[in-house]
Amino acid sequence: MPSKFLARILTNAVLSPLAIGLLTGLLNHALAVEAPVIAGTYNTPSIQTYDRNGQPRTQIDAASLTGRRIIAKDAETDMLAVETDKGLVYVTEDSVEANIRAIAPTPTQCVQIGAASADEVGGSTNNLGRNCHGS
Amino acid sequence: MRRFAILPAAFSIAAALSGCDGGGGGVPTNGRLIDQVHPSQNYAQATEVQGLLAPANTLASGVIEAPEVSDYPQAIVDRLLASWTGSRPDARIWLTPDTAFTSDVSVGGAIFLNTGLIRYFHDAPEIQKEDALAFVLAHELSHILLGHTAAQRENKALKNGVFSAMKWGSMVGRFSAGSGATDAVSKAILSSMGAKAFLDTALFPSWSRGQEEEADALAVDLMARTGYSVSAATDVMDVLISSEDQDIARLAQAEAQKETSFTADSFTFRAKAGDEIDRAIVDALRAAAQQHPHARERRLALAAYLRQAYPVRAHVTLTRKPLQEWVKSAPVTNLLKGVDLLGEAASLIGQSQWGQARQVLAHVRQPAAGSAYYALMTYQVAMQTGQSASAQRLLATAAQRDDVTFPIAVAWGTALSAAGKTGEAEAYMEKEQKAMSNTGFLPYRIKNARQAKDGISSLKLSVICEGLGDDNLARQCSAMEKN
Repeated sequence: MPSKFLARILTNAVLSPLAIGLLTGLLNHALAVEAPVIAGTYNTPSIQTYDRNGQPRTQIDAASLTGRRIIAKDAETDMLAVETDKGLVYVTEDSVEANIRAIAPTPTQCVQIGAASADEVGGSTNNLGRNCHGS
Repeated sequence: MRRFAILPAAFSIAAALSGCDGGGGGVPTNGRLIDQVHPSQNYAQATEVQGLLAPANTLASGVIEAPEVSDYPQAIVDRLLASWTGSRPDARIWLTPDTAFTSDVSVGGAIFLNTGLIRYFHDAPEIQKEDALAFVLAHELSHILLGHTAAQRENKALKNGVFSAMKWGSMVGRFSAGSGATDAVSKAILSSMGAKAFLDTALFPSWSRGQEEEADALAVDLMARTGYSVSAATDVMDVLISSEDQDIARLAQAEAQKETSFTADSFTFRAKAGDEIDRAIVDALRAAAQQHPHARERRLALAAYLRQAYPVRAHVTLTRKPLQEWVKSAPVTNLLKGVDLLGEAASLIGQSQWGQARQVLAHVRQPAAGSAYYALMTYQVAMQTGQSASAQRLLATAAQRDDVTFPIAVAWGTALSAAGKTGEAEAYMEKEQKAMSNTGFLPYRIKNARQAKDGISSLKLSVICEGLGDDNLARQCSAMEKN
């Protein structure tokens, strides 16, 4: 048992820097030109933080995150690893405003073939996003 | 005195209609939506496949049946529904060959998953997690559970019915000009648009924005109960934001040199390049009609909801492998390849490049080759390349499909009418109109009645069309009456 526990510790110790390196690469691949930082915190006073394993820790002052660099995005939890004065903290992606942009989908080319229905009610939709046909 | 009495009456009717939005409490600022919503006891279920597939079957692209692809997302929907404590609708997934990053839902309880969305998951490693797809599906499922689509259709039909009887645009225009309204833009809007268009745009679209945010909130609740990571919703929002930003940039580039315009119902207001006052009016109209982009607002609303409803999250490991295996699987790859070819063929058909379109269509394989979209295009190509007999056979078969689309049905009805089989044409189009709940067939039925020299039926159909209050439809019916 103790040897398995040590093995787990050693594995985590070795993998963590590797994982962060890999994740940083992945993060950079998805980025716009500038390095990712925390641009804002939705005007909230404090932000919940987590540890590397996704376990809740303390809340920290939101202002201490603004402008801070995002080191990586955890592949297991999508949490953002942020460098602060007090060390690395993990926050959920939705709790902060980060300048990380997703790649835009291929623009839709709208082609009309065949008769088009003029029925406004019949054409009502609840699209997730915008396209040629929805709102 | 009379015109003052009419205006408050119209607004109170409109206010009553705008309250009937289904699900309607809004996103709570305290607690979770799933704990506060009152589940419906039953859900509208279409009795025929055509009804189930509306509005996807309104379009030429229709749906593609491919269980080897849709089984995986269907399993996600079934798991999400298992966490719903109310009565459960039969929410089936249908694939739509559309390149847009979006999904949709029908009144009859069908969830439409665009191949454009599947393509994005295929191409972008960052979003390859089942949790993100779960948010997309949960969002559409939430529209069904919250009764949004049914309410939206009912209210649109009711609104059209009410205002078809009120041709008082110029009357309200005169009223507002002397009403003491000080805002120059609103005066310009009322006097130039008329009351119907103003009320249509200002009071009714509020359902859409609120409903989207409600569906986002309930979606994360369903995800949380099913064990998915609610943070994955943000990834989908970020894609929607990038997509909208792209659209805005393209539109701005196009409008910089030309006019901008606002269109709603049958009204269009145009502003020439350089006319800043008219451009401000277009902007105000777009704001009133909620035609402005919404993805950033939705992301803000979702972030606020997650902050209050899920302030501290238990550790949830993202589910990546099943989705990664699915998007790279042979069935998905074959589907995407087939849909790409269908899109290429449609583009060529749009440019009347019939020979090239035929060559592209010859390379389409299953499941895309089994779709109504493929059937329509092969029919059109056959017609345009001198193969009329073959084209008619293709069309006759396509017209009997369960997933027949509006363009195919109209083409068949029109072909029957042209062949002198006007009785058969009317019976077919009447049946499809009812099955699809699509009054867009009316103009073609009017034309067929005139072909049959049946003045009574033509008049009857014209009256029905006019009475629906849908201006675009009424214009089309009127054009058919005259030709």
